[in-house]
Amino acid sequence: MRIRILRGAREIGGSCVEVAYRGSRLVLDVGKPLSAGWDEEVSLPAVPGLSDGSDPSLAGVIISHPHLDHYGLIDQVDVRVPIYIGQEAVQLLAGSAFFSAAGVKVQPTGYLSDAVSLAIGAFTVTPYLMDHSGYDSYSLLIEAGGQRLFYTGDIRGHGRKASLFEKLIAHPPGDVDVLLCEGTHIRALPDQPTDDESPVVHQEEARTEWEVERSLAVRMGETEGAVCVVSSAQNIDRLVTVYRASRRAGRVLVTDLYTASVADSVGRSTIPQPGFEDYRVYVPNRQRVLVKTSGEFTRMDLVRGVRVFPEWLAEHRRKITLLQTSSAVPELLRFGALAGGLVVWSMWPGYLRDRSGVRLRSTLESAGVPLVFDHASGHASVPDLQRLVTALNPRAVVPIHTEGAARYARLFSDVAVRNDGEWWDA
Amino acid sequence: MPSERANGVVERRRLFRANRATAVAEAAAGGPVEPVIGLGRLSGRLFWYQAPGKLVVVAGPYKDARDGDLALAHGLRHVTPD
Repeated sequence: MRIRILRGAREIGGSCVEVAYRGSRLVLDVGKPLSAGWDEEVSLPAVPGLSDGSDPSLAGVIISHPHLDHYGLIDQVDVRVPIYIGQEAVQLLAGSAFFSAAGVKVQPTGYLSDAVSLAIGAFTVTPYLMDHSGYDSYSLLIEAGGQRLFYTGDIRGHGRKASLFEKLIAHPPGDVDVLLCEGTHIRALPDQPTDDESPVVHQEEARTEWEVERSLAVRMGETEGAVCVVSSAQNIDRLVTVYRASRRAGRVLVTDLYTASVADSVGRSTIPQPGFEDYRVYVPNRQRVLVKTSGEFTRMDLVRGVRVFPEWLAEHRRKITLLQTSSAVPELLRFGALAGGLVVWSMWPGYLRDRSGVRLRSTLESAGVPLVFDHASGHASVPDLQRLVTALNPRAVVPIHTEGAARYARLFSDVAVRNDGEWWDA
Repeated sequence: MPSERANGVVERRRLFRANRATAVAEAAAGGPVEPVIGLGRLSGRLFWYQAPGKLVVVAGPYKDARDGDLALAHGLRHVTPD
């Protein structure tokens, strides 16, 4: 088996890997680099047949999970190239597409399911459903010619599905030749702290979803007005966390239409959605404009009976938790829903440096509403990565999805750092 | 005019924007238009333009009518003040 990382050997995001064996090839992920702007077009890596379907040796593209930095270039893949992804991931993307101009339609050939092996070209692919902030995420065991590659995709061991990570540690696939191991939290610079060598652990890396749940519940108990949590509508784990915290604090959760639609789209009755107790929906101005101008009024059917309006939010502000996008905050301030309240930033802190993040901070400062940070990372801590590598015991650990490739050798044995575009034998 | 048989979707879109999309938008708006770039989370797969009081979306032949309607709605969401 031959392998090359096309993008991601020394960067976080834009992941793309090509695997070849006896005239058959697979591509793992076709991500858009995080450095690219929303409306910036990025070309597919140069893989024969990927963009034009001209090479039948390309057996397929496997998308590990529905995050743009792993699937964002999928619309450039020729329709004749088979695509494989989790079924609920497809449903989530379909549910999100209306709300995001950057959304894409994915029409897969087959679906990934936990521990169900697929024969694709010369390869046997076994997905491992994994804990990550992206929904329906998989690690992948790729086998061909008696050799085994394990691609972590994006993983963590401290989310709501941490048991999946522990299951992998307890029952790892044996005889792994190459581990392509994500290292989002392995820092590029030695003076940046990592879990392994500093007692001062970055808050985001160390926190679990349960800790976020507990601390949100405490904040809700201590706050007189509404608590508004700003998070990604596609982060289903965080929706569950905020809903549970809200109920612990005796509050009603009020999400936006985007969050409610995504929760509904994946079709799992255990995920908080319209119809759940203490769950309401407020449709912010931007989403109302979107529904009205697109003419897709049936979108509102989902929230019939649970929709609330500005007057209700202002009146009940002491008893509600809002889960909304940052763009909704100005209108929430205007009609008094955040009087005496608190805004919790529950996403990667780097987004606060974006234009919208800077605007939010300024708006809240002017209004005198406090902004606090409470988040658990979507990626594994360094100690969890070390546990994973020890369990899998691969012959080689190859860094991917990291800015700290050069530092892997300080953390793991048998590290082989590769460059983008470089082929090597498993 | 450069060849329409350019390699890769991104290059084809770039040529479409350069050679056709702007002219189509100007015809629709009845005058000069400015591209809407970097305003928000808009895709590079369609082309948004604005003129005073007007927003125009140009979609390639690979998009259906619903894509165009939705793209117009997304554009309006981004150019409409909160």
